[in-house]
Amino acid sequence: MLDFITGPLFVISLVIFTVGMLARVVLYVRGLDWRLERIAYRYHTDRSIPGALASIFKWLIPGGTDGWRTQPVATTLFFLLHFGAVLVPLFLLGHTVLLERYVGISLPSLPGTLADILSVLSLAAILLLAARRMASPALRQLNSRADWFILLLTFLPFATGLMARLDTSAYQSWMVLHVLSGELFLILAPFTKLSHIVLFFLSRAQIGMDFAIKRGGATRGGAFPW
Amino acid sequence: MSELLCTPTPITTKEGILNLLKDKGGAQYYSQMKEMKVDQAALARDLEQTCKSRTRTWLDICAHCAMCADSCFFYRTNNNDPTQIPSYKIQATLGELLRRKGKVDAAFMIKCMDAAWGKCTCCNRCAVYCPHGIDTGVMFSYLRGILFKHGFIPWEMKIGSGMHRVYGAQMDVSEEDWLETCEWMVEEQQEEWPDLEIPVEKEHADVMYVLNAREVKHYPEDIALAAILFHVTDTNWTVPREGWENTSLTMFAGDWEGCAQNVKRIYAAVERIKPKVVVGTECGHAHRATVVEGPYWAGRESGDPPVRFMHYVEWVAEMLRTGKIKIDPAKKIKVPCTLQDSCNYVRNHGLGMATREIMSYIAEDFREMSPKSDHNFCCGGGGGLNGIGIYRQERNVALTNKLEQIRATGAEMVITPCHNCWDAIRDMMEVYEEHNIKWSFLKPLLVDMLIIPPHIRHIAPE
Amino acid sequence: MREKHIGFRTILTSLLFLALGMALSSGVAFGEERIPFTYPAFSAKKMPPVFFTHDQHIAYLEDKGQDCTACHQMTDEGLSETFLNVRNVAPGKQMDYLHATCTECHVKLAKGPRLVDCRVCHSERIASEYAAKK
Repeated sequence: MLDFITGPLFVISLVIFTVGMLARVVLYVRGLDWRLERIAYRYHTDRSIPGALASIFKWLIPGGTDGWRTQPVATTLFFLLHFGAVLVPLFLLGHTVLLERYVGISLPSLPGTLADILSVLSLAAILLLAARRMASPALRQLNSRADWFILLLTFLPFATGLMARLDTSAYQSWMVLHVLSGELFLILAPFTKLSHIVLFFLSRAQIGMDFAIKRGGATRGGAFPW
Repeated sequence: MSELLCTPTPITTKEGILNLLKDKGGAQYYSQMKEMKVDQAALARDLEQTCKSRTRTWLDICAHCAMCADSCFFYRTNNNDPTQIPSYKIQATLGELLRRKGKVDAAFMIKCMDAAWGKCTCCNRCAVYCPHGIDTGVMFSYLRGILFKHGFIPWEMKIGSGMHRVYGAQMDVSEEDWLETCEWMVEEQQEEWPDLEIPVEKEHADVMYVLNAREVKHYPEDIALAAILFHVTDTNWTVPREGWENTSLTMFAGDWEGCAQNVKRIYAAVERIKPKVVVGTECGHAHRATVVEGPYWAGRESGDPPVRFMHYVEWVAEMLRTGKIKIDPAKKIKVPCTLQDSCNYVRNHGLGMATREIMSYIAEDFREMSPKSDHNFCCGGGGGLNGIGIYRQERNVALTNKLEQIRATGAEMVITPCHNCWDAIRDMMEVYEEHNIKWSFLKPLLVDMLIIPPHIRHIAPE
Repeated sequence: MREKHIGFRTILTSLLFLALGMALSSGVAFGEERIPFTYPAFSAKKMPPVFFTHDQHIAYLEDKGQDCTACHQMTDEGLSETFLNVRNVAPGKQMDYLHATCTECHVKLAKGPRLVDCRVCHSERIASEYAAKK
């Protein structure tokens, strides 16, 4: 059982995640239509590429856009969650050891204390985002099952991982739950709103191209001031 | 005997327009709409064929984070009503339509109509505030197209689309009316500007001027002012006999076929006259329909119009920069004044620099609104909302956002180089009884404050 | 769009209880003599050092009729004190070698910590207990 979930199931999850995400990318790009969207995707690359890049990277910087600056609380929570959610799964020492052994990819690892801090902050951000969902009238109007579901899918690996990290006598049980919840995340990501892991980049690139190619890219003098 | 006024078929005859106009306020039209059957199979097919990965992904990955809420002036002016959040508005209409695969009734389609025209002006501001780059305005515009095809559109939009299809203009202005108005305006100005002319269909003119039918029908002096400005700048200009109207209520109506007809008429005039550049009047949506979206409706793969098109503000900025128009310093605007950025050519076509360049020449005390330029708010009446009777109350509430923005600048004059913004600002001053703030297009101000070059014959009126 | 999210909260609570149940049932007592892994001497100290349950391993191997050479190679100077072939592994690869060799055996025998069980071997608690004894 343990060998199955840490071996074949882990590989299966990674394959589903990778193939699923690639499929989302391919389907997205193939579904773009210059006539329907009225964007000459194939033309004006001199401005569409910088436009797409600015549209992505400005939004990756905390406070990099007017949108982030006008909502400092939400922005802080999003970034706290995402710093941990991107860095810890990829660069935690335990993860890099496993990745090197099973997949042959060798990544640098985070200092343990930093990984601990990032994980705790991510977990706190998830809980505060959940609280925000329950408290804010605007959010209460928007909430759907799918929103709660991805919060839960993200919460579980962090919570179980941190429980294991505490190194209690139940260490191995927490580790099993951690591996299972991580695999659940990987398997479901392509089919849920977690697909924004890749679709964020595509969607941002698309709107950046839209503004660069059609909506003022030639007259504004530079990329859209997000 | 009551006639069938509300159908999915577009209006293509004068009688059709007259019948609709006889139905005061569209009372009968809207009551028929409630009884109209939704062709669910056709609706499902339309969604299948035209709603592709971009829109579906937008609806799919929307994190319901509410970052768009505050970007929307409807949300802000309705006491943060959660049902006015852009994300909610689109998910509850287009999102639901897709989830149900078109299996909806007339009541649902009317709910969609109320949101697509009464709760969104397609100003696209929310797109600037969404971390995922989701443009709800674009989606509502798409939804308008679907609703048009199935007949669920406001009465005025149905008429507007019909006007364009029948008259090639947003109002019942025939070619004869148009040419007569040009002649009349030249005569009117003869005493003051003896050499003024409005050349029609002059091949190879440097500038071909296109305008808004409303100027012909209701504000003909605007044409005279345009002519004076071309005259004093020695511009070799002309107007086309056909294809002179660049507005597009068809765009507001979601009538994409009508949009294509409009823009092709203008591009055909370009083909005939072969100007170096086309200048369009002080109108926001007209510019968008002809220059931004228009090339695509005309099937142009590059997305570029067949020749350079300039918005009036670009042309004015160039005239001021090159000294063709010289402003009398004594006549500059002395009172504090501000500038309304039209969504359709500022956020959606990057011309905020041009208007600001103009302000630097004509205003002594220019004050920016906050937010400004690409981030500015819609006037409150864009996207056709100004003209729709059943949503008048919604519009009036929405206007307060811009009114507060204007008041906060302390300005006594608002420069509004856009017909829709101009209307909205006029109406907000009237509705909310604000008598100390004036508003104006650029043309009358420029004609008043320019230094007439010595070689231009001008006889000042008594 | 406002819906009962009670469903998810219930699931979450049950999952946590399940975890707790599993956790309590798997308490393992450590008491045997342990010896520290001193070769190679890792300088980075990213994880607590390993204190190896030598007695436990000997008992298990004897039971299976095996001897010291299962883990220690015979050399000209006698039985090597270090683990298998680790001395001949390039310095950068030694950690990976130890991880792989230890856990492969565990997987094969379906016994002992696997590669995911980092802190069973790298235990802060045991490391500090041994540090205190010294």
